[in-house]
Amino acid sequence: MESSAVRRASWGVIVALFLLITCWVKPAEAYAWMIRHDYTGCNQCHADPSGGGLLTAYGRAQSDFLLRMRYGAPESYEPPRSAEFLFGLMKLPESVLLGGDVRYARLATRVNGQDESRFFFMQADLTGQVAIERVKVNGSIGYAERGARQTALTHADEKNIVSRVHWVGIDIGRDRNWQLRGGRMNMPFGIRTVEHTLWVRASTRTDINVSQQHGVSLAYNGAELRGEIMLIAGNFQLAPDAFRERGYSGYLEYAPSPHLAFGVSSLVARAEKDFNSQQSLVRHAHGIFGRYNPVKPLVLLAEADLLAEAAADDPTGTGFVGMLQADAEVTQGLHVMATGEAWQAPSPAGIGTSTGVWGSVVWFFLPHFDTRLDLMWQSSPTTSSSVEKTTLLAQLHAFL
Amino acid sequence: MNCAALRVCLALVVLSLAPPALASEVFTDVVKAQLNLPEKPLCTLCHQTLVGGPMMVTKPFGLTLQKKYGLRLLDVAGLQRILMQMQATGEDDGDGDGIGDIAELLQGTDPNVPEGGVAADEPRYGCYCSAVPAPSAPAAAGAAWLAGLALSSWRRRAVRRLRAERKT
Repeated sequence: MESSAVRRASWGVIVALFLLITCWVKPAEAYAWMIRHDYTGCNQCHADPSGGGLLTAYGRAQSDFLLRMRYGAPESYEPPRSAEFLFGLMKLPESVLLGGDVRYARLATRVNGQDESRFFFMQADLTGQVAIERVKVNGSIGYAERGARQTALTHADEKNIVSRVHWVGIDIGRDRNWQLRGGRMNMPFGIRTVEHTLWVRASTRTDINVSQQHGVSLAYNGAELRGEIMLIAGNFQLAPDAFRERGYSGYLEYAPSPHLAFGVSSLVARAEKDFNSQQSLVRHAHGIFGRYNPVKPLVLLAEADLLAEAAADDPTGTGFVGMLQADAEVTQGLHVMATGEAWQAPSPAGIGTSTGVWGSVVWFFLPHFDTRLDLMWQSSPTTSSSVEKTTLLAQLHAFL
Repeated sequence: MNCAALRVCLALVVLSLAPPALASEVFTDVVKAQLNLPEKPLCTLCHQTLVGGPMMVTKPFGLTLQKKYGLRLLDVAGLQRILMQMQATGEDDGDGDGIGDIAELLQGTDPNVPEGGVAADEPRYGCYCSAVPAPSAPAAAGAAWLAGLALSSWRRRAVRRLRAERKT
């Protein structure tokens, strides 16, 4: 008994160090359209109670059964070994979850007729979780070639080691429906999605790329109701303290049927000196969101948020942001998506409304592999004219 | 099917061989080099926020470059030429405080803030959870390796001890 506990603990520590040493990977899967398979909640498949990132053993099995293209392979109720971490090359104890993501992309943009393109690693993270009874220790470590400085552990302008999440949590309740966590976590707000540049995520600073904050959260996952509220203590990978935001963020979602879920979100955060605008700022985002699966191949995702910002010496500005996305799974593993979005930044001057349209194709072509192509067109008014931006983004993603 | 998958992989690999283009963020490096500044200026010299972005050029200095001199995205040579011209004439004063924009940059004040306002603070990124300076990435990886070795030898010893206990 004692020997197995010691062995398990020592394996846990070694595995955690392996994560740190390898410095090579991030969690970014967050597929709200899994509601088409009657999954209204996220915690069955993800270690994060509100979804996204590191997969549970069950989530890994579902990624093989439901996510990837099967090419006519017979249905099976036994998950293949290849669905496991590192394609099953390394057998992990049940108490340990490991995952990794490498995402390589080509980004080409045309802004008012001028072109720019580059290749870059969007993501190179390792994520792990060790569970000791009800206590869970979760963390990610990775490498960012450029950008993502809010998540950096090292201090260079680029080529940093990053950690997007690291938290300790405890399951509460007889059915373990509640989870109390402390550490650096994804912000609970709206639809958790992999498309971190969608304006609903970027303008509310709730994306799962760089917007995590340190704090304490309480999450609930029930049969029909789920939600999470987080008290934000600030991003302690950002200094000095004046730049750190304090406040709260949370959502509550109700699923009256396996094919429909809708909810509300709310966020208020204040920084003495906002790291973007360089002045004292209180920002609000309050909104609604929903997911609907009218027929099996089609899922509709929608979110609309009211925005308000009060900067020092400026009157409060109000705006809004919204998106509507239709995801059609043409055949298992091949998704065609259309997205429309609109954003009016909460500027007192009221510059105008930006609009965007996305067309996307996502192909989960092999176990652990997917590729994605997004064509985005965005138009944003400025004080004098408007900026037309077209973006072509091609990605190859592998998860360990 | 495997052929199709292979083709996609090959296409992405081939695409990845193309050289990356310059991004407009090199503008701050150009300003630093051209004016021989000790630090490169922040994106907020021209943009509304540190995020930058072509649609967010709202500061007087950025608007001067854009509207008066016609600076375009990625035009590094154009920026060098414009800065030389601005330095030679010294007539541009976006904040209207009587000190020219280039003179303000050279003396370390913000050309967008009247009366020589101090340039904006840049947040520092990285782990600041202790007063001790954080180690560099290679040093952190090296320390992690050493810790890993120590822990694996500790684990071996623990397993050996448990086996011995079991035998007795």
